[in-house]
Amino acid sequence: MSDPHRILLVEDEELNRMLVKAVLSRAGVDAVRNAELVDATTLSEARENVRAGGFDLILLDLNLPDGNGLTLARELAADPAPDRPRPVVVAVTASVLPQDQKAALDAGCDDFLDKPYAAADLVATVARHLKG
Amino acid sequence: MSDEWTRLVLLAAEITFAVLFLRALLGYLRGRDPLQGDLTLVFGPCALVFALDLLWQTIGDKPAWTGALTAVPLMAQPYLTLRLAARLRHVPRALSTGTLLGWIGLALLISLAGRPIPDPLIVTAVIYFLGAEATAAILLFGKARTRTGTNRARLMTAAGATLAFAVMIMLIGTAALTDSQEWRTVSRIMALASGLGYLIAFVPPRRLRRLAAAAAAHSITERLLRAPADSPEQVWQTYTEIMRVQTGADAVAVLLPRADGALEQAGYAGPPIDLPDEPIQGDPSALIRRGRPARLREGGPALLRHFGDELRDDFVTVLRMPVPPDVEGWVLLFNRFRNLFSDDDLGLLAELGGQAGILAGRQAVTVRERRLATELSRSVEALTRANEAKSNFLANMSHELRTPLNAIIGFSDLMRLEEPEGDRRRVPADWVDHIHGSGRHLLGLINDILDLAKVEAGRIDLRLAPVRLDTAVEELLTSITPLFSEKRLTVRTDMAAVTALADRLRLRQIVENLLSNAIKFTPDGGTITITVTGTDTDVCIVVADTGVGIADTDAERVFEEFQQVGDPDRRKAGTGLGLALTRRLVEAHRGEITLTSAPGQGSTFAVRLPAAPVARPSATGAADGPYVLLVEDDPHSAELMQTQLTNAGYRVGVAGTGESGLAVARAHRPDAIVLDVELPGISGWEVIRRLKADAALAGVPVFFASILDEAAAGLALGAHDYFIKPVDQPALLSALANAIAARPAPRVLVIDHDDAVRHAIEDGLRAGGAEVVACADGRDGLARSRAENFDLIVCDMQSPSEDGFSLLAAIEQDPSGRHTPVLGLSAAALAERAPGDNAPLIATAMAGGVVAEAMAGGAGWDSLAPLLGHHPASQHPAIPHHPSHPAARRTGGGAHPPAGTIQLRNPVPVHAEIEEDQ
Repeated sequence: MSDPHRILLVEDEELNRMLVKAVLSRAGVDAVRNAELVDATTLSEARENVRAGGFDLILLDLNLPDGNGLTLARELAADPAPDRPRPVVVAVTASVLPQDQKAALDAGCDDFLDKPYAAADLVATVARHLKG
Repeated sequence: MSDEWTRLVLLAAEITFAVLFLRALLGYLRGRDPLQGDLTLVFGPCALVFALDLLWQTIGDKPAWTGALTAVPLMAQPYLTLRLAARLRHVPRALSTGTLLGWIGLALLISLAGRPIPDPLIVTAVIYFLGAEATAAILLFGKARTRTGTNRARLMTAAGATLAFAVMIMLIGTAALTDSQEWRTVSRIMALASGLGYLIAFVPPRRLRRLAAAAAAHSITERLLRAPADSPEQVWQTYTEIMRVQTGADAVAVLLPRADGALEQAGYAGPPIDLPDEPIQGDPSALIRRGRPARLREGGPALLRHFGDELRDDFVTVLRMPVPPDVEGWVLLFNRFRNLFSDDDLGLLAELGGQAGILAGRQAVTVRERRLATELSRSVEALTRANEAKSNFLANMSHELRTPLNAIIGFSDLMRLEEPEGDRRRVPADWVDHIHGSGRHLLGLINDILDLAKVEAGRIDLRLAPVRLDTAVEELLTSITPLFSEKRLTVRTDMAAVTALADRLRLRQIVENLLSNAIKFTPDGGTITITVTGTDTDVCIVVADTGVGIADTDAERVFEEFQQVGDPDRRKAGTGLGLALTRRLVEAHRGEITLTSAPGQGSTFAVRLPAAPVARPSATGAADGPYVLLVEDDPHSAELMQTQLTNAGYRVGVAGTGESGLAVARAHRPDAIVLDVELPGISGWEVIRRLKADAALAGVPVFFASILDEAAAGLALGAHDYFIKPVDQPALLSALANAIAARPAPRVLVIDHDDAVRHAIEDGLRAGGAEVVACADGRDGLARSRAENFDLIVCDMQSPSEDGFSLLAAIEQDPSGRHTPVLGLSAAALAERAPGDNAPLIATAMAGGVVAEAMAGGAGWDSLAPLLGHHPASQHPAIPHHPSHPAARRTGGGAHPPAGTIQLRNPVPVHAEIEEDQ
């Protein structure tokens, strides 16, 4: 069995972090269920985690207490010489206007998940990006 | 120069003076203008000399005596010139008189002296002449220096001509003394120069005048166009000032007609005088005199009143000023002395006022356009901001609603997906809590929106009652303590015991919003200070924080819906509804909310609300005052409160236990109950629970008075208010008074064909404080029941026109009457009643299914009243034996509120026995 995937969960709302953990830990997809989940509640914390490296996927809330999550996405996209594979970034936000989605994709996010989401949607999104 | 030439020069000079004389004479004869008169006199002597000269030349012989004949009038010239100067400026009286006397003396001497005139006399005459003329010239020159423009030039010329005239006389004198032909020639040239000078100064040729006027006009136009003109007013003022400079007038005023015909002053230039800022009702055209100016005092009281006494003796030249397209204004020139400008020239300058008018009009348009543009850009800005705020709000709202929804949907999704364990699902308890909490949050948001919409539509329903502000705040603080400790905030309070007249829940909402706002914007470790103060009419709660503060420019916007002010990056989560709603709520209370703040200095929100009126003890005494039941086990407390309440005009009943209190309440239905919490037997909590469960007593306001601070529990159980012992007596009295007064008199419809019975019921109900509408006829009654709202309908079950039960059915059919309880009276019992007979009267409260015997205990008809309030509906299912009957349906349905909710002011103890209506 290969090493479990690592997912960075950037989310300031505790309730939502709990929800993501609960959903992912009950996922039917092994890769998802077994993935290692690391929390970050602020932009700066997330940045430190990313720098430490080793993440396959980032679930990124955009409305963070110390700034917009898209900043992190931009930084990742601008990373010129990655000696490691760049993690997939999925924006997870309650800002669902078309311009918000466009802004997220423009900033370098790979995917977009609307809040509120159904458990199955979250699992499917994560599974889709962990496969590769 | 040959003699021929000198003769010609002299002739030219003489002709000039003759022309001057004739023109001045004509001018004087035309207008009788004293200035023209004096001018005529000045040139008179020269003209005379010319005429005589001509005469001698025609005759060819010059008699010896003619020397005196020409010399004497000629010697008058200096005096006449001084007279003329006195028209144009101030000339000392002594000077004029001295000159006149000098002339008379010299004239006598010359007339009496032999021929040829002796030299010393010639010398004296020349010196006199020279001195007097030089004085006149200096005076004119002095005047010229104070003037400007054409006026100045003309006065200067006049001064020069006068001087030339003096020199001419001197030369003639010298020529006579030395018999020198050269001097004579030069003197003639001087005479011509002087004549031309006078001509230009006083009667300039039309061409010259036009030239001067055109130059002035050009200058006015140029200055008008160049002057800064930000407003029509400024254009007119500029024109006025230019007119003063150009005409050399002491003062200039420009008047324009208003829409109502009165004149208003558009401009004034001149020495400062007090000009009233009122329209002038006068007509300046009254001051237009053909050929000579009038004095202001001739112009009527309105103008005098406006320009004041200082100018009353001034010459005023009134000029019409046509302003395109069709307005006629006026230019008024004020002069203490006469002005050399002719009215025609001035008229031309006044016409330039039209230009000023056009400029002013253009300026007005520009100003209006500028203002419109400003307004437009301002409203565009406001609209843009409103639109932005709306979009932001929608985005915010969507975001804020979605966040809790995410947890709700997410966790409930998980619960749904949870594998069942046998026939039960495994659901962690905290998931349910999360759903519950998020649901509550969502509800709160939605409620805020709804509240705001409600307040905005003016549909908010305030239940105003006296509320102790300090207690309310204290309660709230207790419930939100965790929020303070989370951010390590220090809370300071300084609260006076004041009572507001407010809706308890809304007041709580107001204070809660202010506090949560303060918490949200105060950094960790900050301080929040709450101050409560009050006067007789107002109470005030002030919440001050040490937070980020708000800039002055944003202070008003914080109260606007959907607005969050300050640095967008530092904005806190929220919908921006809290303060907007708070302000709406405060305003609905007829209060006021204000904010004082500065960035970095924290914010202070102050809410002013009306104070609860202090109850005054009733003057009528306790005999018919409202009935208050006091449930209190401690005899000392009971006695104290009883005394206080009795003094305030209440009838007071005291019960020592909860059980007895309930019994007394059921029997007497008090207007209010004051309840202790700790009682022997059942507690105050249980008492209020039972009171509220009893339909007949649920409406009675209950006031807790306890040592325990359990206000929240008490209020939750339905208490009207909660007082902590020692009870703040004015607050309690005020609360009681308000609670009791707030209850409207019940309206009762009585339908009974028997006059005696109907009147008796009416009397009884009225004695009980009800408002009664009585009908003898069932159909009328039905109509009234449909048209108006009643709290109760009392009806005879067998009226002649309509069977009581059909009436009942008809009322039930009617949507508006459906919820009104109906009390049916048994006609049989009534009919059998003999006068003075206290036989049982059967009354049926159909709504609740009550059959009560109202006449029991000999209480008489009055006992109907308490019956209405006494209503053990639940224990007495009524008329159960007529299941098909509409009345029976009513009993079973329970859709009708029980009759017991009707509140009467003066309950009288009654012991009703209950029977079934068989």
